[in-house]
Amino acid sequence: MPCKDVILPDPIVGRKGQTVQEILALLEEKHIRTVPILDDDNKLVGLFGYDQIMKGLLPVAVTMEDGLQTLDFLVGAAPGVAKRLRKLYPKLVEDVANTNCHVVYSSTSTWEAVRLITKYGSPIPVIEEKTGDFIGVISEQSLIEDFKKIIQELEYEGAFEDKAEQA
Amino acid sequence: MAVNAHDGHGDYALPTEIFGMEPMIVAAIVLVLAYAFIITEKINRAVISLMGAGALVFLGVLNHDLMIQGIDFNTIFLLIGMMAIVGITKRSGVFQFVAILSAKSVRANPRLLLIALAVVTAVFSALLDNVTTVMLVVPITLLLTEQLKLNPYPFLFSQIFASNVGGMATLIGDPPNILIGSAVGLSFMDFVYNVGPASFIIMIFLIVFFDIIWGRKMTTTNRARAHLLRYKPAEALEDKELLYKSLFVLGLVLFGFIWGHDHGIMPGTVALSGAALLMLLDVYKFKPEEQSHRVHKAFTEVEWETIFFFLGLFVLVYGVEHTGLLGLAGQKLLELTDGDLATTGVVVIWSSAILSAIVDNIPFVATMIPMIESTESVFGGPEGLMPLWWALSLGACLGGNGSLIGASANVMVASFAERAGQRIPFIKFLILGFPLMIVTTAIATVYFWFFILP
Repeated sequence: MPCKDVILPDPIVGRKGQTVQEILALLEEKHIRTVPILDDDNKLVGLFGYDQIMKGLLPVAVTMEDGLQTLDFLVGAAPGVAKRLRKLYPKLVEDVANTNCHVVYSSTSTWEAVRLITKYGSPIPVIEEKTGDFIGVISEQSLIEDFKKIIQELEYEGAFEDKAEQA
Repeated sequence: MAVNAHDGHGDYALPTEIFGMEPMIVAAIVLVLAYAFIITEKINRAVISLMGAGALVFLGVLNHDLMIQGIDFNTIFLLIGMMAIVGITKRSGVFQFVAILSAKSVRANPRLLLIALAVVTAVFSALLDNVTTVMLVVPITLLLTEQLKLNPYPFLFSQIFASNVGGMATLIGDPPNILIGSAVGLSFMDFVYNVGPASFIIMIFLIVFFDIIWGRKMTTTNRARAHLLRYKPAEALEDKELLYKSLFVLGLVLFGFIWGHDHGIMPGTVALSGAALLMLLDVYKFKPEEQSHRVHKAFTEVEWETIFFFLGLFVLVYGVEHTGLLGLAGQKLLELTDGDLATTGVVVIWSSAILSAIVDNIPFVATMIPMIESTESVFGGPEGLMPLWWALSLGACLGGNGSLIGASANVMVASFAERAGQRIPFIKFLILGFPLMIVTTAIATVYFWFFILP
């Protein structure tokens, strides 16, 4: 079963050029954690969500490869961290988004999508192979919903009854 | 190609001619090609050195036994042992602890912080590998400079110089010293006595210089300083028990370097035994599965790319040495200097310094060692050669400061800076770094002339 069968086709998206503050308001309003960020041609720019905001709050000395492993020694930092969030607000979302996110193509198998979500988290953007256009996302919820529908269909067709009888 | 039959052992006879050429010519071609690839940095240096080493054996310049003979296992063991020890020790958080403590001890004054971090880098570099030192110091430097809203460039620049100058002071501080010390059998204290004072004098000069061009102009807000003063260094210590174990083993290893030299125990053996002891202390109370996990992690801290680069390089240089090419080059050097020790020493310092700034100083020193050894008879045996070893150490270690690719530590700092969005342009570094390297080499030459020459 390819990814296109389990896709969430019309997800909430952010647009290139919007600020972090605008996208944060969108996340809060829609009660979601991450949105894909698209450009004017409907091409994927990256993913942006609370993870990127948290990462943006940390000093670069921590987030870079082989950076500091602990910040235990920083004391009384809450106002300092809050100030960093305020500094993030006016930034363009494309500058802070994860532009290196994992994507799947419409023909990628669902197994692979499940594996990627398990490894890198949800959601995963889906790209049309030929055009490179963004066509939707696959999330943990969308996958489970689709699997539940399939179970219902299979039950309706009696697929599980034969097995039960055989057992 | 005339290949002689052999009996399946490693000491099979070698051809006297390869593709109609003398083995010496073939070895020289392979070495020059390998150097060319290493300099251009298009292909990984470890891969090049291993390819070159393989080519020498496949072409018949060396046989299996000669190849093994060419590898300086003392250097290899010393590098692996120290890398593993530092890899375990850094988990304790001691390096961050020292950096934060030094920042607090200067009351977060930017001018003094520049000096303090350079001194911390120099001291760590003398006791640990330079690359490891900068990997530990640079991230905390970036945090402190961000906190104090300072440009990190002066700090990173001074740390590159401090790591190469500090590393010069001891046997284990800088790869050129490890190579020289191992090949000649010099002790830890030999380096401390002979090049240590030069390292100290140059460090003082650099501190004054950096203070004049950068330090005295640095300013920050009282608020930023107050933030930094609230840091709790003790919290940076992740594992105090491991810290005590690590310091115990590090102390034992340093003692082993000094004691072992007079008792025939090589530094490589000391370092590797120290690594094994620290692993034992780190894992003994855990179940076998957890032990395997921890030991595996300790071994992953070893920079295997560097180790294999050295392995290939030893074979590569030995191939050229075995064919007599480096002896010939040594004779040319003597002709150039009329066999005068002082002139030869000065030529060694300056050629090492200039060339080390252009190429990685490790392959350069590996090639120079057999070349200098070949001049032994002219200068009255191994004792007579001693000034030339110190000249090579001074030149190669200081020359590493001449450009951003002069030493591995420089490359590492540049890579960290880039990751942090603070790219150090090659030319920007060169414009100040090269002349400063020339000045420090001049200081080293004066030191050589008055304190090392007999």
